[in-house]
Amino acid sequence: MKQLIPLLIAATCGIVLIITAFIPATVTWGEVAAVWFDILAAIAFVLGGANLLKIHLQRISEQEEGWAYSGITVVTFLLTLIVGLLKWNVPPNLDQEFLGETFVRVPVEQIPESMHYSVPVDLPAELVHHHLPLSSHRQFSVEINESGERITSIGFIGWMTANQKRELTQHHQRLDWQCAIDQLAETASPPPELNGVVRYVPNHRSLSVDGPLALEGETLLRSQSETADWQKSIDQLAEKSRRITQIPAADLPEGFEIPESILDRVSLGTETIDISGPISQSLKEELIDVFPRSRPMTSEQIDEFIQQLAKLPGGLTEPQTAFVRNSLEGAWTADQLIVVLNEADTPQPGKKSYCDLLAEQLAGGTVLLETIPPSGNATPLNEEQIAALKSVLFDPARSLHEISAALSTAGHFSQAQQSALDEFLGKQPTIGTRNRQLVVGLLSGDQQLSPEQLDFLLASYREEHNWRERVHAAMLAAHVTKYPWSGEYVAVGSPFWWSYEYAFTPLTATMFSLLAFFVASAAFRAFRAKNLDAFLLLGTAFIILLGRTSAAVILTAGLPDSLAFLRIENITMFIMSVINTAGNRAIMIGISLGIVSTSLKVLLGVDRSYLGSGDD
Amino acid sequence: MPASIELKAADHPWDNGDSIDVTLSGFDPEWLKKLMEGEISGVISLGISEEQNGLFPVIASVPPNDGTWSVSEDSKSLEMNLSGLKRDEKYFLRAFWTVPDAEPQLMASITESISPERQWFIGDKFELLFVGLVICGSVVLFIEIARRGKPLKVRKIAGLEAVDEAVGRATEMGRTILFIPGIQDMNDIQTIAGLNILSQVAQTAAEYEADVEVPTDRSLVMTAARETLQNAYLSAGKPDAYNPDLAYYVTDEQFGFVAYVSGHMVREKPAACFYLGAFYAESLILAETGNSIGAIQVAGTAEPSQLPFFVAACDYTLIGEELFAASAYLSGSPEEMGSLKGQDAGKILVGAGVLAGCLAETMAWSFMASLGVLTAVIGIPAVTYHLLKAKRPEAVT
Amino acid sequence: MSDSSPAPTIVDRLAGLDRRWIFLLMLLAVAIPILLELKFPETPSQQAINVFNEIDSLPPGSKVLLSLDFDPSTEGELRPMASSFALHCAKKDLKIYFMTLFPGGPPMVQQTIEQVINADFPDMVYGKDYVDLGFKPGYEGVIKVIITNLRELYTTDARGTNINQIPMCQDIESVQDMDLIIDVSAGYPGCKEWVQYARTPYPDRVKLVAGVTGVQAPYLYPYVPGQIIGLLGAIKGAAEYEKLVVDKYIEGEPRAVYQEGVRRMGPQLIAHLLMVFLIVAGNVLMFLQSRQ
Repeated sequence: MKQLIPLLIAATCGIVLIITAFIPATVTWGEVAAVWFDILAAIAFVLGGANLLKIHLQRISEQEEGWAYSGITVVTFLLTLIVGLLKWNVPPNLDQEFLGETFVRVPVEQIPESMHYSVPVDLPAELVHHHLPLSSHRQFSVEINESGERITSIGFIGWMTANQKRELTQHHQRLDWQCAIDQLAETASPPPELNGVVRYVPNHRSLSVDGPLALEGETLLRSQSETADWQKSIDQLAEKSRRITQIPAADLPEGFEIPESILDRVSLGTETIDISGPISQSLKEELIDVFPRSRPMTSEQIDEFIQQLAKLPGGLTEPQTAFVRNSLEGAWTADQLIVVLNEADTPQPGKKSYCDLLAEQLAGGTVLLETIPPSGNATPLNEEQIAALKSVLFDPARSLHEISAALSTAGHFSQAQQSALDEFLGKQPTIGTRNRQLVVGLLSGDQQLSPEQLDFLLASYREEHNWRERVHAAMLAAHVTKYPWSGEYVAVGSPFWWSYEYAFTPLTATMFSLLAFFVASAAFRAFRAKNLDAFLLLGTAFIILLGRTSAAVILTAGLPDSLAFLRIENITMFIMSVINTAGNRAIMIGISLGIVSTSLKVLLGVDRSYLGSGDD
Repeated sequence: MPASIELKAADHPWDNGDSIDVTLSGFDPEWLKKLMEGEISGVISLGISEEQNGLFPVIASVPPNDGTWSVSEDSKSLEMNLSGLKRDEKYFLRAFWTVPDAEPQLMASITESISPERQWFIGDKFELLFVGLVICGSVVLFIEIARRGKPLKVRKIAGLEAVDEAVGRATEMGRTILFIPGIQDMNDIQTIAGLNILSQVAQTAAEYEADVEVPTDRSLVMTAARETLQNAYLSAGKPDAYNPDLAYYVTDEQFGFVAYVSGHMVREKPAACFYLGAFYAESLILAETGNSIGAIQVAGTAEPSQLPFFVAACDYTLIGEELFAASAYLSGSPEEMGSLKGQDAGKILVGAGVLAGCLAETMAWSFMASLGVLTAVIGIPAVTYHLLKAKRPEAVT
Repeated sequence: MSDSSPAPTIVDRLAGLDRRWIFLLMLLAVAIPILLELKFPETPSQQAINVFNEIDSLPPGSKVLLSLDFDPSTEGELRPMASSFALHCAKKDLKIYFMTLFPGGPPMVQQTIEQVINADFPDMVYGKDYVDLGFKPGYEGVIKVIITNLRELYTTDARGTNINQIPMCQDIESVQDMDLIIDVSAGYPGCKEWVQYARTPYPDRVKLVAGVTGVQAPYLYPYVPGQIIGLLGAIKGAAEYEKLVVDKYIEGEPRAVYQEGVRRMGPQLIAHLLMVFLIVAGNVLMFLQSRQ
């Protein structure tokens, strides 16, 4: 019995795994077997640790020779275990999975009744026979009539996310279903005041708010339900989302002004900049984006810049001057921007909703198309606008942000053009970055710049870099910790990391490098040309040894091209890819067959010696 | 737009029920060639829906061909396999023709819905099943033949002949025997092969009353090794001599394990070392350390990259499949011998396949034809030779 | 050995040389070129050229999965490859997705990001131009899953950001969407598993190049060029590829990080010459002994 049971388990699992490879209906069986193996493997760690302790403690207690080593082993084992498990000195992770958002846990069951939505429909019941998308399985429900043939209504608990909506609509490629989901999604959405601000994140079973929760929003949310749980969740959400993060106001970038678009979130005090709510990636970008961007320069402006640079100690060489001129002339031009803005005004094709398409279908349409061809024409920028644009561009005193105002006063300027303008400007380097790129080019080769010139060119980049780091640190600080033990046990600076970095890494690397020494001594001792086979092996070894270094190239570089195949590196290549590959393949095939036959012996119980002897 | 194009869809045979085969036929070969080479601007796209007059979102298009489309030999039709569909769901398909800056035009559609169906077997794996059945079948067949008492001959494996010698020497010197069944877990078949050999080695050692020490780097291997040792001592009739602490766990970390074992070897100086299982970079470190303390060393692994190191530094090396054959060889049980013969049948099959493949490529024949020629050229003389040889009396070995 | 035997000749003594002398020689052969910073010219082999061309032919913006499947024990051999791959991809404006199958791998990824991307490409933005997907346990099981569905295992990146919030991950459904997989592999799980579970089931959708340790290389040659387009073997391969990248993309003297491969070829050359010498010496001694 002692052998029969493990044998049966091995045979069953093995045969199941083989069958799953061929029969699709059984694929899940294989996954179940794999999960069981994982569980077993996890238990094995505990077993290993216990055995390690037992053996070494025994040695210590019996004071065997070298028991002190056992002592060290036990101590380091326990230390590593404790430090790793307790995450000692590991800072908890910040809750930055969703930057700029605040979460409070609200399980689906706690979502108030008023947020249970449903729409009446009339759909065939077979539509829900397949598994519904996992992302909505807790929240989506259907009502089926008594005969079990039609779905009479579909419902949703909480607000539907864009992702849930997409997965549900894609679940069936038929318009009545898709239109019904569209209608449900419209119903199951937050009140307009909260749309885009508050959402329900099903994976995390949490309610989330983007930025600080406004007072009106809070009232609206509270009104959803009177239950204590719900009110408590909103309390938490309001409190957590309105935390203020501060950046010291000292050493602000020159001419720092809070961009208008974020004035509601950010305020400049006497000593600090106060930012309410967690800082999202886009808020961070806006806070950083306070430095002037590079702009097209007239040739006079370029000359002036070069002169400034050349006047500083160190001067500029001829090629350096040419490089600066080329770089500055090669920056973006007003014409490029005009092309971009004109293109942006091209009307875009529209898209019909599923319900529109359904109506079309019901009206007898047979070929339905989703896109609506674009209507209207593009209006290119007029002369006046172009002049206004250029006047802003070439006047360093005026900010590039003035462009949109100048363009809209002078003529037609659409929303699409505004975003194209923002995108275009966003891609241009700031003056600091541009100057830094100049430095890289000016220092290439043997060229030099004096410390004064470097200061002149790099000053603004340094300022920019520092500011970026400060805002980034503030963004991290604005996010509260996830939960107390959320840190990675290998976080940089923790004792576990320290032992990994300064004990584990050098020790394993040392053991691996021992190979080099052992290879040498083995070669000296064992590599003897005792017979023809050994001699051939030796010859091949020489070629490969030399072929893997530059010695090969040096030694046989003199061979004419017609004899190129005799160059050591080419012979090496030939040996490796032809002879070695052929041999390796043969060995691999032999091994694979050996594996098949051994596995079969195990599965059939022919060879049980790994379980003890063959006799029961 | 090309006119009178026909769209056909059929369930993809022998699959998991998630794909259908789509064919667009009736193209002008010249036109299709130009389209595929990019000389005609326009795209053929395939839309899918669950209703006949629904919206047909595009699911595949050509050109450019991402490798999923194939043009038939007569250049008149396009074929592709549409996968990722839901089993038993009803689908309708439409093909559209779209030129730049214009609305898509309906080119062809199917009138009857199609549903992908799951078959009980995956057809792509038929060859695998065939080869698997032949190899496994021959292993089982030879095991059965061996059970019926037909003597089977196996060539000598020097490394295994040396087991007695090594164990004897350890006994004489009063030192232990070190046995390492590789550094992989029990799910590696090499570890199992190693433990199978351990069973035989331990039995011999128990008879000689020598100790076999088995440090392992996986705790599951440790428990398995203990079982093996216990039963080996039992079979040798010395259950009292079994000491479970002789098989113990060191660490999962590869180089930590090597450091321990090398240190242990230098301190304890075992008289014989067996390395049988899966080994990686540590092979030479272990073997050279063993060599420096003058131990008899027998190694065996199915990791081709480590074989040279073992060959250079050990007294005997089991190369690849010999590791798997060793257990059969040592136990000498007819069933296990039979499995070795079965393996040889597999080798003949693979060899014939390789030769036939080379012949087919070289002579531009079909694979089956090459196989036939090969069988005739090699098979007939072999059978004749065998028959002639069978007529002569032969000493039984 | 009994006292009555004749005094050992010099040949016998050399043949029985304590192996620690050989260790010492090896130490010197490696240490001296390192200390003197000896460098030798490299001539790229066809393998290295294949790897280089494959990456070089990708259009800017292509997606590249850089799987750094190694840990500190093989860092010496594989770090130069990892750095050169990262440099090449960054210079080509490719989108880089870092990941690792080794539990000890995450620090390798972080160091590569720090030494190459943060140091030389400050304009590259995390999440837009490169992302660190981090380590997932499960050996080849990880490859089997992410080859059809990345999100089933990677719901967040290594920093804990939701993968749907990372711009460059939004249109990635599975590893099949990558234009190229680059694997830097120290063993199991590594290059062979990428071949078995990624390239073999999806030969039309997956392209693979790899850099591996010297021990593994002979074992992987059977897969070149069918399954693996190009294979860099050991430091030699690293140095050749490094040279190709540096020659094309770096003007003037490259930083030390991009010379690691070439720098390590100095000790390699001297050590190989020592090996040749040792083998010859061993054989001469054997010959002399047999004459006696």
